Amino acid sequence: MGASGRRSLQELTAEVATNPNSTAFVELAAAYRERGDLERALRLCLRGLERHPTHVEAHFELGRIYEARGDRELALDEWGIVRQLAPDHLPSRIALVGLYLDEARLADAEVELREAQSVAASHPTVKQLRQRLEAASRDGRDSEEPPALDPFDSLAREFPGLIGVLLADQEGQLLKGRMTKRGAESDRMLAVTLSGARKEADRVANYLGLGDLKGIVIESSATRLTVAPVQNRLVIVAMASHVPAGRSALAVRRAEELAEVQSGDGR
Amino acid sequence: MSTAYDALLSGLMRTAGVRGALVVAVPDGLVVDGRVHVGVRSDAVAALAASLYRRACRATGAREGQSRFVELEADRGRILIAGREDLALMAVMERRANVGQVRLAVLRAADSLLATGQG
Repeated sequence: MGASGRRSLQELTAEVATNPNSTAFVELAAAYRERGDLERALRLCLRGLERHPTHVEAHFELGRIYEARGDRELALDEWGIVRQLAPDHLPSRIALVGLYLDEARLADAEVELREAQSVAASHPTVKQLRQRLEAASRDGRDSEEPPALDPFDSLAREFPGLIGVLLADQEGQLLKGRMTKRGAESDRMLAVTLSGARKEADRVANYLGLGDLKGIVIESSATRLTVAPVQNRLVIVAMASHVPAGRSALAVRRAEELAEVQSGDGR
Repeated sequence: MSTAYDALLSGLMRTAGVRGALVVAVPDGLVVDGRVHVGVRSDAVAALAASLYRRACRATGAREGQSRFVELEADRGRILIAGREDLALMAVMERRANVGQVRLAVLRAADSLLATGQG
């Protein structure tokens, strides 16, 4: 909505007060954010999301509020939710690229920028971000770990069909690794969800007296995901489903060995 | 009383090392039909395993109608679950069971189950 079409703070406040189901809270939160009243904007947005948990613009606005507060990880989470709810939502893609560029996470920025270009290649901001990314790449300001230092990179060469490997702690916080194409936010969400699945699996195994959990395999038509506990961490391996199960199990074993080395190093 | 799943479940239970076979409504974790050895509480297994299956479907972004296969491996046995977001077949296996054989049996039975469900 353009500036001329904006409603006043009083109008928005009145609407939100009289109609709790109204989605005007998003606009009102944005107005508070722009005035620098971040706490009020945050409370308003969180309360509104309780009633409208899948409201795309509300999640986007909440991300902007978090970003303004300096809570970048929380902003990433919110924009990650927007991406899940509305993959074509250009503003969130642009915001993600900007944030990744600020943090010199160029690989993540590249992934998001490609997605943004697939939505609106000729958008001026998208073009500007492309130029920024190319300049950053030329300057060699990429602060991410060089590929050779990622312990799981060698597995992709060793096992064709490997989609990616993640190492997470018991709560699903991502420690290392990458599932290609989907981006860091999807990886984080996957790690958290599968960490929950591991807890469920532990309960089932205990209940049935099956002993300690050794792993979970989840197969779809495209992917075989394996979740394996290693010491107090989780290794998650994604393999294309056309790879034979035995070969896939070998890759998991190698990933477990690498994860044990990582855990032993205390990293 | 015989049900539509009798043959399917009995067939699975004849596979060596299978301690239980259940047809489960995934959304609520309730047993639709099942055969279990003594000592296996089918209602609790179904509820817990359905919860695991739902989470696995979420993790892999399952859409309506897409099938999933989930295998839980533990020190002394395994659970295999195959089906869709609404109905799934579960098998509880002892460690000694032949995994490949049971896996194949479960996948085939799940195909029949889903065909029956669509029927």
